[in-house]
Amino acid sequence: MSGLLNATAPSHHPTAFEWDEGFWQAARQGRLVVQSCAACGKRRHLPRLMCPACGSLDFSWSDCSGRGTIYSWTEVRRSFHPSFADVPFVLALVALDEFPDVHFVTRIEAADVPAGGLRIDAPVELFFDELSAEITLPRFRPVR
Amino acid sequence: MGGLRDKAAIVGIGQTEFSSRSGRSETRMVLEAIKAALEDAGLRPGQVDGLVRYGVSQPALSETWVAHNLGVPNLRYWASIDFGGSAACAMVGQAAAAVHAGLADYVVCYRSVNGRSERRPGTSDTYQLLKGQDPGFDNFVVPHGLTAPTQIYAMIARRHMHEYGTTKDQMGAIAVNFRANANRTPGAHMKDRPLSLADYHASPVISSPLQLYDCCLQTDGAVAIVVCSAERARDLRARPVYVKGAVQATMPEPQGPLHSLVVRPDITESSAQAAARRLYAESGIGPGDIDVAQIYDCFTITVLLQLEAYGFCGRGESGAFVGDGHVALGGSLPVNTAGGNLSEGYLHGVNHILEGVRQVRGTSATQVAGVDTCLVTAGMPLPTSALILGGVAG
Repeated sequence: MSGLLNATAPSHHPTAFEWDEGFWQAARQGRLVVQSCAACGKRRHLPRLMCPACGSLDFSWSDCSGRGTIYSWTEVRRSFHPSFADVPFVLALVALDEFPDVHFVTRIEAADVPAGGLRIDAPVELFFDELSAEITLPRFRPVR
Repeated sequence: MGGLRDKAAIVGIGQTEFSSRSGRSETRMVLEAIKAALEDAGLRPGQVDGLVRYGVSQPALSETWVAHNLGVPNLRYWASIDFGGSAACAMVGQAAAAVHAGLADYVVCYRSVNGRSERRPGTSDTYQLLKGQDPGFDNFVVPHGLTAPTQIYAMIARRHMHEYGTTKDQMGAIAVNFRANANRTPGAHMKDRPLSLADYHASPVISSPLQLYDCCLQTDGAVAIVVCSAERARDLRARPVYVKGAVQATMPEPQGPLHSLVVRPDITESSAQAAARRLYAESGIGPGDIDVAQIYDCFTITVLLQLEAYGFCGRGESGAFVGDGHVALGGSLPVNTAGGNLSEGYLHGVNHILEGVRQVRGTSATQVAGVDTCLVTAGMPLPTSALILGGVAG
């Protein structure tokens, strides 16, 4: 379970844990999900075992449309880690339309950055990046 | 008001020079700083019975190893304060609580790091991919390439600029002011390196909109602080600097290093808001009473955020507050009077406490006239801590 999936994966790939393996299973199926408490219904992200509202240890996964907007962004010009030496690259925080309190981190491909640059509040769409047989990464790009 | 007000005092401070290459070990430097602090206090190492250290990751600086070197015969209190930049003021707060509770008589707080010549905070050297230790960060943040505080604070800065119209000129004014203060401070890392606004604008982008001089230094150096009860302080030679208030704070989503920005609806808020409320309530001192402030400046944006959080201006008004000259030495609220993390040295905010003590004592190289109270804040990577220091008890 934990850790064994990615015994030989590059170090920056996610490793599924018991509290987020449902997220990675859904991603392999092309679905973006967030945790939903089975007892009180509160949705939460980042995934965890216990509901912070009611303490229940039971949860399910709730699908998100993947529609959202750019909340903020940065163009990284200096490499901070050997796994990410391909500077410059762009990172963004995306606020989902139906879950605006939570932000998803995404890299934005250079080819997807509009001519005038990224704009806060610009709409984004979801796509899936298959990193390996085990891990597919939900990502976002500006809607054209 | 809270239980710690006027119960403890800082009675000694000591430090090495701050540089790019100390040429000596972190252990040797911490002993130099502690010796200097004890001499400042007029105490012998054998009188120390409490040690509080910054961080947990440096085995050669453990409380027992430091005690072994100092010749401390009876260590009655020790603590290691974790969580990066949030720890600095918490060290003094915990020492103050210890001496107030009678757990120790004389507590030394210390921090030592070869942050330029050896470990490099904020880069991959210390920001390891913590497989299994910080799963939220590893799985939802790192895989896209977000691994460093600079990238995170860059996005916070851009959001602040978007929401409030904060400008790079205003952020540059912070960098330039603090550099000017460091240029007048003996032992400061950037003592001999002036910085103009033109230099600031011309510097390379690190992670937009943050450029080189928006980012703190990486420094070799050590600092130490001696804390005892207010009663004991009266018998020592230095003028006591009283702890008027000491707090630690988080937010409801205390996720590990920095990546709570993923789950905070408003990333320009931080734990500083909660720290400020409690600090002012417990000390009975408000922002209008603060004469000078040492504000944690890992990046220029964290100064802006904390000026707002600690009530020196309204939300979104910190850019104008800085642009109008309020934080300069001649302004209404001089900030980081020795240069801070940006220019004095990156000792993770512990150096801010030392400069706060000097300002209250009246011994700073950039002394502001008539200082009675000084606010000192630590970083807010999510947890934070803060102190108010004052020259008069009661």
